[in-house]
Amino acid sequence: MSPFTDMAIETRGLSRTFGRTHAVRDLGLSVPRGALFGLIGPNGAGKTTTLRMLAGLLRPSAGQIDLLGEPISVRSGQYGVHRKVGYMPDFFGVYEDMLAWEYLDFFGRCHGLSAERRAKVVRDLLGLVDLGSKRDEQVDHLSRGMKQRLCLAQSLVHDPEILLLDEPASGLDPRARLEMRALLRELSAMGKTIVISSHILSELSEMCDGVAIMEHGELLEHGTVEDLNRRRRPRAMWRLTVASDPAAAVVLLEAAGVEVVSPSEEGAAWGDDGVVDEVASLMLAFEGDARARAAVVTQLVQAGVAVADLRPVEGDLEDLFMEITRGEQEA
Amino acid sequence: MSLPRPGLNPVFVREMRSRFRGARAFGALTVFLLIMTIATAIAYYFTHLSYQYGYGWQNESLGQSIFITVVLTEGILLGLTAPALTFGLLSSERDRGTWELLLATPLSRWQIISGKVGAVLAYGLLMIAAVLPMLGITFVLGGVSPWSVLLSQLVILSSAALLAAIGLAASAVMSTTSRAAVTAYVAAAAVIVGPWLLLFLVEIGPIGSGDLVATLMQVSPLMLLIVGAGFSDMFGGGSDSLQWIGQQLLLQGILTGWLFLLAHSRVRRSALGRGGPAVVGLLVFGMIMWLLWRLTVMVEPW
Repeated sequence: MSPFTDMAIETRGLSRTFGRTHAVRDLGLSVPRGALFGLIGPNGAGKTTTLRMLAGLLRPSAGQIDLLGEPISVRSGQYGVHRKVGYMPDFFGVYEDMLAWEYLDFFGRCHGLSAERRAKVVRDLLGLVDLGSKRDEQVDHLSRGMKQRLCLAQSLVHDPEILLLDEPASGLDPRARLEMRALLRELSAMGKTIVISSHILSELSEMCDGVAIMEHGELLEHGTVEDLNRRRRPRAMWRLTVASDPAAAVVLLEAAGVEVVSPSEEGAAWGDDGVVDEVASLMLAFEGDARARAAVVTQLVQAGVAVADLRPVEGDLEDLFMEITRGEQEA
Repeated sequence: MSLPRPGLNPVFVREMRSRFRGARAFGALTVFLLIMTIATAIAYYFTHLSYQYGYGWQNESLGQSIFITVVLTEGILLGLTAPALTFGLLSSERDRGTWELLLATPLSRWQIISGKVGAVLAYGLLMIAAVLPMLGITFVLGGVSPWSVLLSQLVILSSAALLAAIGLAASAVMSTTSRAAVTAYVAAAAVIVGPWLLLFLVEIGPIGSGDLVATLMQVSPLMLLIVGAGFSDMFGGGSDSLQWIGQQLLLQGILTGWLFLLAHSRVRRSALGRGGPAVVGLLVFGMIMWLLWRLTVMVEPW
């Protein structure tokens, strides 16, 4: 993760109620500048409400939002917010009777761009989202994935520093999803701060520098995936794959003070005789540093165990999400 | 931070592009003119028939007959069309899912509403302009002064604007276009036909006082249209009628402005798509009507 110097988004005590329902409650969120940040949670967690408040579309019931170091006030006007933020809602539509370039041109006009600037921006953005060949195509003739990319392009017309994307990949086929992911990475590389709400957790864990997990309008966890792993799983877990004599490996490891938790889920199993099969992955709880790990591996190799692989086990975002939200429900 | 550069309202440009792209707008205009032509031809035929049966032939009476027919037909058609032009202006953005995208731009409420209304107004003016050559016939035949023509078009424009504003307010308050359409036409029907229905009830007895009905009659576009169309020297139009028409134009203007402001105030809040405050709006509308009734100097149109 790159070292961030300051925050793009900061919220303090942010709350929003609809009647008696608390959609978002006392949310304290910090998103560093240039980060690709995932907002995750089940339906009704308050993700969309949070994004709409950040986009200046919804007035918070309480709390404070700072964008790029400046406090925003919905009451005092939207102008500043809309300059800084590009927003793509989860349910969005397009003007069917427009051509692709006209669609972007319209939003360029809305953001007050001059005719020359609009022409350049439209050309550049259509290229960026890979719709250059669809410039004169009627918008309603585009596929869902293309419309999704076009909508993402409209959120970029005024070159905002912050992008708020609500479920940008929902309803897309695997190919379109990959294209969208590549596009988001490209935008992130361009220095944009991107906040994505999504249900596709595996993709978020691959892309995001940081995540916030929400449920029932409250923030449960907040930080990088590694941070969450560390907090939730204080013991370092390692996966050792051996290509021969795993039983001997287990004995040697235990003798070296390494706890063998289990064969990992990947194919290994204890045999009927209580010994693991010949080629196996072992899950280890091991706190030692690189030297200690090297010593253990050397010991195994010298004992004739064919060590194929030793790698840390990161709990993926789905595991973490399930664990965190389950914990909350039990509490 | 740089401010947006001045130029054409982007919403107006988009609406015009969308409205006049394809054959739909011109098809509707053709149908409109076709109906007008048929109505004028029928008026001519029956006037001619009355000549054959010995009622006497005068170019002036033919001119007046055509004038009244054209103005009434134009008024009714525009009255029916006006809410249809506006009830989807804001609600269709919500239905389509473009509303939040629009609100996420720096456009002001005024720019959004005025851009949309401006495009509707342009279309309405095009329809009125298309009718003018037909009214020009009356200048050849005589019996109708240019002043009457001007006044009739002013009356039609004012009434159409009121009905369009009803559609706009419904569009701002209701969450979907179908609800907005129903609300707009029910409200328009209440304003147009309601007073006549009440008048009928007064005549047959169930409603005792005619004061309220007389007041409501004052805002009925149909009443204004009839008086406006019939206003000419030959039909006894005098200063009383003129005063009444002026008063009604003012009243309609106030109501139109109020409905416009209602829609304007709802633009941001209607992102939530809730129709509940419509009830409050109607109550306020009722209070304004009552206030106007108390303040307005009652002048009989005849």
